[in-house]
Amino acid sequence: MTEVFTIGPSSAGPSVLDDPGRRERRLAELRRRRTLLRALRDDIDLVWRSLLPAEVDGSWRSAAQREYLERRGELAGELRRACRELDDALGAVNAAIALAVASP
Amino acid sequence: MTDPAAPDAGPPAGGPGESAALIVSGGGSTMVATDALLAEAATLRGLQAAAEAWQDRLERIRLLDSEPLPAPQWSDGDAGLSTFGAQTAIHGVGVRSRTLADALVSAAEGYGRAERSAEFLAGVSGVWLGHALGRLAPFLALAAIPALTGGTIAWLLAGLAAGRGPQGAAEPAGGWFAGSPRVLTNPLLPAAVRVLASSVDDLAAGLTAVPFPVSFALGDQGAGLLGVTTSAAGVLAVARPFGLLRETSVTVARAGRPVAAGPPTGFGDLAARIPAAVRGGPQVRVERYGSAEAGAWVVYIGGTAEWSPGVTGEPWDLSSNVAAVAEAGAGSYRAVVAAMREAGVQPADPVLQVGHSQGGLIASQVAASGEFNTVMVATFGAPNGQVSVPDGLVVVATEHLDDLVPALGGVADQTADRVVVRREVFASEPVPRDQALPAHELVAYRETGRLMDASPEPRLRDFRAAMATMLGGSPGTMSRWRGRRAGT
Repeated sequence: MTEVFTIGPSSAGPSVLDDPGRRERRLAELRRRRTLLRALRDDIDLVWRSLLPAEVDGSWRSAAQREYLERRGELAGELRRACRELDDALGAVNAAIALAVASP
Repeated sequence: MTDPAAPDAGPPAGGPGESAALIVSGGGSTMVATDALLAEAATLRGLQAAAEAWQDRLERIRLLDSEPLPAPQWSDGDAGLSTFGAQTAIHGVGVRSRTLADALVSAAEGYGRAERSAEFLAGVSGVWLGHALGRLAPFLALAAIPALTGGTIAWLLAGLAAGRGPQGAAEPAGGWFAGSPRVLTNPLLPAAVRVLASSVDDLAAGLTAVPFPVSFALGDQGAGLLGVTTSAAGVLAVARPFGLLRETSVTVARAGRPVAAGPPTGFGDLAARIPAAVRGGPQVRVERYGSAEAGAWVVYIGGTAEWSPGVTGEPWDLSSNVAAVAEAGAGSYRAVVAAMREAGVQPADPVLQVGHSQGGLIASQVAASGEFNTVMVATFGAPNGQVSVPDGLVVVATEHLDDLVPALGGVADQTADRVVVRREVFASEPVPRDQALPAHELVAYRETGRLMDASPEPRLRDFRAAMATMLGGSPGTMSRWRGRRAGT
């Protein structure tokens, strides 16, 4: 992972881990990103959970209702996908933080 | 765009098992739909806005990365790749929520358009039919006299032969209504009565040979100069020479001492606190909240307690019903105004008016008069569709689809800002046989009020929130008032 992650040597020149000052700045930035990603992920997760029950039963004829609920399910799926992607991003940021902290 | 809901949104309620469904319309919106559907549309619009905000937040997070890896170097487990995936998903959320919200709004607006067109056409047909009947009335009467006379004699003779007196001849009709309770609670009947109530003036115009275009232009469908109000005034003009539907002066007195009361929290509370229509009982309840200097008031007005067309001591009677529709100084209206003054309502104090049936009509008229600082109105089963209240006033009118009484107010003003909540009480439940108009009963409206409190519909939620802001959370005082006709 480290060879592709931004904290590593992403281009020619010294790695961020080699420079203590730069590493601290990078760590602070990563922690800030982690906080913001968590907050965003939690907000989206909250909306996803509130969207799950569809209280539209009995309001329409069945064909329209079925189609609507199908589309609504796709919308909920999209929200779930956003949460999963943010989880992955958080995992990557956590790994980068761990790597930076562990480096001498 | 292929709307998932628009092709077959259908009637928003009314099927078997849907007696709990609320249909919400008005309030400056052209949509007509169930409260659940409108709440769903509001949720999706909120989600659409949220998705845009999430995109902004994610972009800010992305920009925090001072050493981003170029996209071509992304691979599994890379934060840049996941962030991009999240951006794509959130973009999809925005697009899908907008599409779904548009579909719901389109369906609700389509139903609203269809309903308004049907109402307009029914109104025009009513005007034409009323006018035509008026023009033809002399000939119809002449033609009908022999048949009516023969039929009446045959009916009386049949009754006598069956051992009933002339007074008992009406019993079969009453028995038929008792045996067919669905007749008076069929939603088609209020719809027809609404048109008929608005067409009585056209019948009169036809009788007096006023040309149809003139009658149409002056009536409810046109300038609104003629209509239910004119018709009611005509009824008063005909009845009063016979000593019926007469108005008198009224007096009010407080019934008992003021007691402590907590502020109402929703429509259920408002409906529950409306005085029951009991002959001789208090008809008005007044509650005061707020500080000693700045009061906020709730005025609850009961429905008709006396149905006799003659004059009794009860101002909440048939005379007040007709006089109120005619806007001709109903005794109940004057009693409410007097009770409010006696209770101490100051001109600048904010007032929430609440009423059932005749009480709802009076509540709307007090609001329309501008005599007090009415800021909110909640009515239940009131024939107040044609009462024009000042702009900006928050009005929620609750009408049961199977209740005849709101229809007596005629075809409602389509441009009014009032929110109308409709429900068919007996869509799936059996109709009680021991009540003439069970869907008009206050107890039925109390149940609807509780359903409205449980509704996520934004306008109903806003009303409850505005009420809480206006009244605050501290206890206040409550007094009951009884109006009497003087000289009886």
